Amino acid sequence: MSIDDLLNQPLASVRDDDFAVGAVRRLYTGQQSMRFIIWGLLAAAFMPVLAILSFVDTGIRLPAGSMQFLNSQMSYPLGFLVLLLLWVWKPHFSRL
Amino acid sequence: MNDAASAERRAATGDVAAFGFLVRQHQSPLRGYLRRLTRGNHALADDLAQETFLEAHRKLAQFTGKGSFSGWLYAIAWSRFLMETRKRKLEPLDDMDERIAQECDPGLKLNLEKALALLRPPQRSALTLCFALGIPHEEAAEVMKVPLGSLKSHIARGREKLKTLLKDHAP
Repeated sequence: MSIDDLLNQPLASVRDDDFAVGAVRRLYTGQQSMRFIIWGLLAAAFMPVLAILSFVDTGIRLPAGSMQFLNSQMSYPLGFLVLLLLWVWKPHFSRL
Repeated sequence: MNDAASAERRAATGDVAAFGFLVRQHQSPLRGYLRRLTRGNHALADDLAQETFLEAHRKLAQFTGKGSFSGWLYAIAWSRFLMETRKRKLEPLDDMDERIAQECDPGLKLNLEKALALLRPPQRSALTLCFALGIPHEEAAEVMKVPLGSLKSHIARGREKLKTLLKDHAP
């Protein structure tokens, strides 16, 4: 057999053996980490705004009953809840 | 539009299933190519193959469709391999003749894979791309980012070395 015949032999077939699954998993994990970082940064960026809001006189008239929610014990968990909901619903309206 | 082109387009928009389809379709030749480059180191070749696919996914929007998709993958794989080789100092990229002399026991019987492992990486890559994978010379030169003349020179020198090695160490 000549050298060219030897070289022309196709490469041995390599069985997948979950290679594709592993690649997709790595991609998915990478994307999740990136989303976590982006949304974490967004959340961190909004923290000072939330802190300042309590001192700003917006002139908004709120129903009397809602005043009980305007304290740090309630507003921070509610803020996190909003971010959590945005995270959960995010795939429906954006890739990021 | 065929399945592969459609999968490339969908994967570029973030469709993970389409990306999985592309990986399944191209994994065998790509891993085979990297196994040759890494001289049969399957674990390293598979690591590089995964990194190649992930980089391809990140850059899919840049794939213009000018060459073949597989050629574009081989280009990423080749550049990943070169980076890894430099980083880990796996093997010298030049002046392998001395190493051949050191590593090649005169009594050793060589088959094609063992003989290829003794060539310089650019020669190994050029021969694999143009012969086993059947890629045209022009495209192989683009994959390896070398002028066409250099690619032909890698092929010619590689063939000559292989001829000598296989003749001197025939089973």
